[in-house]
Amino acid sequence: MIRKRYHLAAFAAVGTLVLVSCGSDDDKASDTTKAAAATTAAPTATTTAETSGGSTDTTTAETTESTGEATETTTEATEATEETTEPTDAETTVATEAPSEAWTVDTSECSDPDAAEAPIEGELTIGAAQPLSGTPAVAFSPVKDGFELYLKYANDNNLLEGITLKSDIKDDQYDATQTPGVVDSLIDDGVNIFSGIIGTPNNLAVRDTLNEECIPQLLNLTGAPDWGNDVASYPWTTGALVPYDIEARIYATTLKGLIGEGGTVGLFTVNSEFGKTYADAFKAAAADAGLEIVDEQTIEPAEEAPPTNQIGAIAADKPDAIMAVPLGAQCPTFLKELVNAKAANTDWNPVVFQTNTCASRLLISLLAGDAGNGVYTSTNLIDPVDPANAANPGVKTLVDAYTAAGLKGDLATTAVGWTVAEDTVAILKKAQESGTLSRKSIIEAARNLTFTPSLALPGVEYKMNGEEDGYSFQTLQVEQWDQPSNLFKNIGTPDSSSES
Amino acid sequence: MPTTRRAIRESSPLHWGIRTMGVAAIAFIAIYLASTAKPSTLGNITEACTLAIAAVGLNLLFGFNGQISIGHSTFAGLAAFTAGYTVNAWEWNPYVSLVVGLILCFLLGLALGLPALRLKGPYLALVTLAVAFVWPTIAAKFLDQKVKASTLKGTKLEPLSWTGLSVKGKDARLDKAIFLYWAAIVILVVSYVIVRNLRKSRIGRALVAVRDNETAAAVMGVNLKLTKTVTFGISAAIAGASGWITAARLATMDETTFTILSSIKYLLALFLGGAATLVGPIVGAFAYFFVDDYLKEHAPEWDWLPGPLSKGPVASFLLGVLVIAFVFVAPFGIVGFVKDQVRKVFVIAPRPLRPAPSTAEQAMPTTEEPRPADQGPETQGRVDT
Repeated sequence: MIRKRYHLAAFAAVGTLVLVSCGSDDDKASDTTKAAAATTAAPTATTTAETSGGSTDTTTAETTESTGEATETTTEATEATEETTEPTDAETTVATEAPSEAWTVDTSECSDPDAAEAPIEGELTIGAAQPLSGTPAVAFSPVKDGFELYLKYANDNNLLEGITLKSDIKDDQYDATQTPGVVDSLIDDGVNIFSGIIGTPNNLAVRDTLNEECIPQLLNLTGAPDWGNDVASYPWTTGALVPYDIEARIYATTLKGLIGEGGTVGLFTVNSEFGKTYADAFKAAAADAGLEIVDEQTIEPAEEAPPTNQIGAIAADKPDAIMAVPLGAQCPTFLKELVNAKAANTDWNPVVFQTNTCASRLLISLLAGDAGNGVYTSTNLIDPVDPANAANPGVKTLVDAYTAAGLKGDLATTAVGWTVAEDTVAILKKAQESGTLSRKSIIEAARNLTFTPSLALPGVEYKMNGEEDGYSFQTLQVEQWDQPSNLFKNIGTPDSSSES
Repeated sequence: MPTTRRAIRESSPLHWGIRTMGVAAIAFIAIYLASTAKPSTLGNITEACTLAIAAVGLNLLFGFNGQISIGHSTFAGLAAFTAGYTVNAWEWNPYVSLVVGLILCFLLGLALGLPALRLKGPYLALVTLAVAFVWPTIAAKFLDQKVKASTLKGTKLEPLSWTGLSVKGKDARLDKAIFLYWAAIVILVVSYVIVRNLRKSRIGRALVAVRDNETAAAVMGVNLKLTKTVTFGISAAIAGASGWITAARLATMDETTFTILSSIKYLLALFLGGAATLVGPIVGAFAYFFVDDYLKEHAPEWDWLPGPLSKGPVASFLLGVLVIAFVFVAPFGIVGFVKDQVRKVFVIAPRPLRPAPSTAEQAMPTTEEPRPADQGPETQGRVDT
């Protein structure tokens, strides 16, 4: 009897664990998709600007010549778009105007100030904690491939003279309770800097430690406003994605154009920090835009069942539009459930916006199918999957490297990792140009840099200016999914109104 | 074929010698690691201890008292949030927050023990499952309305001055890791001792009696209501201690820190090590944690796995398969399996009966867990004393 009870209980527990993990083993997913966070990131390559540490206002030109192909391709890409806001030069990385006094970091409070200023020579290791197993890995694992791919490209082309780049990316399963352990072990292993840690709670979980140790925590792959709103307290931490509040405001503005002032909106958000940030920002922006929120529904982060009741409640109010902020697999289930609600209310056909964390082919096309057709979202990167972009030099470089490496993950998500690595290398290059490559010079370079990634859409650039501007990217392009062509279509021009 | 086994008399000098050596070996390893290990290794052990503490608490409830709970993550969450909030918002001493957290968990455990008086097995599991599902919502509301932020800061437990460990400077990260490591070990040992002493006492015999046959236990005078609710309370408080360590370890917490998955991990640790054994939950927690850690580190690089598993995100899947396989091979967990193997070589013979046991003691049910190996003909072999 006892044996039977143990068996039953053990199997129940194990069964649940396996169910939880099963999502990651969808072989369709493993070789087709993933993009989730993807669309946002953004990286480097063309224009390196302004100052280099210290108080010089001069700019460095010719530096780019040595970057070889990467620079050339990016420049060509920029020319091809003919809309770049930054003046570009085919052969220079350019140095543009610099703030009168470049931001510097104080290392006196570091646990080991000498280590923070010690020169890094020979080999530089970049660490990160990312979901490499479990359900979230389905969407995020190609980021690692893209990151490593660009580092190989940088090493092959000697983009950082005298420095060999290495990466050490470990699995935290997107579980913030595991991230401190992963980061601790990476620090013990001698990682010099961190770049591209995925997830808001995951980055928050290690922010204090990395700031106390004075180890740069660059380009967090999350759009939480935390990465740029308190530079004085957390000087060693920066973000890579457009802050969620800016994204929400851009959606509200676009919606006003689509449904007119006084239009009604239903709000569907995940009940988490991520959803709350969006909801608060969107409500404020909607009020400014003269839109009326007629219903608000939430879904729990761990909920996997279709949101039938929530969509039913929104459908009862028949708003002109829905702003949806679901999480991961909730993106397609929301879209499918919405189709059912529309079928039951044939006179109701709302405009639908989804956060760009849903903007992947896996979530919109493969999992939601026709239900995803017409949904609006946003990006700031060129879509490398779109045949129209095949001739773009930045895309070509990525695709060539991707093909040569025999990768199979979603190309668009791989592009995110590629871009983050490209940004990181641009920061390192600027730090190297300052005279000494150290943790101190790296974070100072990161916060005093203007740079256009090779896959950036026109008008998109990495731009940080000390405490005055703590956000790297603030421009987004609204786009709409077209299921028949299996492509995103740009709506209007990129919104740069939040750039400072 | 009959086997010849050596018997060691319980509480004999030899038995005490073996026990003492075992404890000394564990203490030596603990001290050695604190002196030599890197912060990340100490952090991993601390995390494994956290899991072990919760599993020890769950073992008291399920292993010895037969009440299943899938809601222990809620108790851990309650204590962690209590600590995080009182330390950061009210500037309480973290150790005071520990005491308050344990009391709250005990009271919540008592309350949850009430439905357990009428529910058993899967029905009780469902009630506790609901509690586990409700916790993230409560936590999110709390963060929204009380903390006014998306996350709650941890307690940042710093080394006490008398330890000589530094709070700032070059060695601060290592010293903080060492302090947290010892804090987790102390709490784990205290939890173990509480459960062990309960188990070995009259109360423990009542717990097991209730587990095995409630009616018989009631007939023999065991207060079912008191026994079941208080056990739930103590078990919840121990899980709360685990949550307090988590609050000390993490920089931030939110509604996703303690989910149903945490409860499932506690259960897995318990079954892997061996429910209803005293050291089983600890062994299981360490085995689970470090196997999981190993798979996460190495599985993504394994290209020898077939088809889509090759170099894929399969660590969790492999862990599940391993646990299923292990349950088939060793249904009583690692400790049960090892005991069965050791029993083939020698046995611990019980102490001789006391001269004049009381009537009540005679009526108490056996405290020994029934084991197939104890009942088969193999165990009838010659015993050398």
